[in-house]
Amino acid sequence: MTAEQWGAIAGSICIIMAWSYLFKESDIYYFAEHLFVGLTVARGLTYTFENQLKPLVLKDMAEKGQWTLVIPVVIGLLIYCWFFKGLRWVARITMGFWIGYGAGYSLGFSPPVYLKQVFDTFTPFIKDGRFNFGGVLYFLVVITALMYFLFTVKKESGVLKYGSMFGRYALMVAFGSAYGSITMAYLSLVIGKLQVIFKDALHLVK
Amino acid sequence: MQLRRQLPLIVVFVTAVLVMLFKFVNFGETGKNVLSQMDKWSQVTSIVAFLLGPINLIRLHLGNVTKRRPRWVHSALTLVVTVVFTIVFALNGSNGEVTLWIINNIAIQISGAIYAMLGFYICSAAYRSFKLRNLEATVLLLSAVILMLAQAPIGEEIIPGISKWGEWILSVPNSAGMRGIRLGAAIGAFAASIRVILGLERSWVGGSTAE
Repeated sequence: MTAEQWGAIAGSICIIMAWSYLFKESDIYYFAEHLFVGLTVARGLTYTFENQLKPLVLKDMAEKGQWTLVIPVVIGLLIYCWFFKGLRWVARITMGFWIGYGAGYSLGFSPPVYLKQVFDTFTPFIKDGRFNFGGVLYFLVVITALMYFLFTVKKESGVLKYGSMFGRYALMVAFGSAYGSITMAYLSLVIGKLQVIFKDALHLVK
Repeated sequence: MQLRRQLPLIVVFVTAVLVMLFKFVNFGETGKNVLSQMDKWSQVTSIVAFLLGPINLIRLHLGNVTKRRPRWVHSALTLVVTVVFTIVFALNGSNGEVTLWIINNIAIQISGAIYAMLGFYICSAAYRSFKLRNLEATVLLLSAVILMLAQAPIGEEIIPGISKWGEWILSVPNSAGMRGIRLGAAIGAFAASIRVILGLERSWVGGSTAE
């Protein structure tokens, strides 16, 4: 047997072990679950070391002489102070760097992305000499969905009340269609796993 | 004590202001270089912290094993698998033949199977939540059914043209609704970012959040 065939058999056993949960919570399922966690951590460790730490940090420092990288290395290492009770506050310096960078990046770089979406929402009512029903509906749904998420004002009457009500129904359509798509995606995943068992391992399906 | 609370907040402020300064003010090539260097610094700090998760996992499972907590055998399995396969993957290389065989045929199959299990549960959840209780639930149900029929080959056989309805629902109400949510979330994220930068949100440093 080839490595591929052995792989299909091993994969099938793993799928059956994981799916045993559908019948009952059992040690077989927990075995599969913990095996997965262990393997993922092992792969994550080696992958990060080989593909990120080595080329981005160690090589750049040793070969390209980018010794300024010592500063972020030290900032990053401070996070391990979290494991020492008296020094936990030091780990917050690293967190502060990440949060500050994230907040600054979000304020500085995200607006162009979102503003483009805002501009694209305003489509002409008449397009090619015809009433642009889809564009108008699109605009109304975006505005009313935003109205629905306004929680700081009272929506007891007027535009806000009926707007947010329309927004709620529009969101229901959106969530329903998202749900339908996700269900189909899950079903295709189930079919994919069944193919591994019945096609690749058992050769019962061509 | 005061410094322990203030220092992380100062780091947040300085880092965020620097990023925004070099983004909004035109410093020419220097500004671009500083921004790319800051981007790299952010990556490097995250990469250096890569042991944080594994250390936490090992501490948790080691505690389970030494204290003989329920299902400690599984914790022992996790520890053994982590240690043994870290050595195997390190010796073989993270993209080596053996490594990829194990990852593709064991880890990915288990994760895929566990993820696919949601497919079974989502059907029973649908039965419970999609009952025609009110108009909103009916709209949700109709939209989901149309989408599912539109994406299944049998749908077109039952109702000809349903795939076009599905496409329309995805491209207009679904896309617009999701855009509304995204824009709302973005406004929330901006507000949260400003609060964090100004030090109004300091629950993460162990302090109370200011009004």
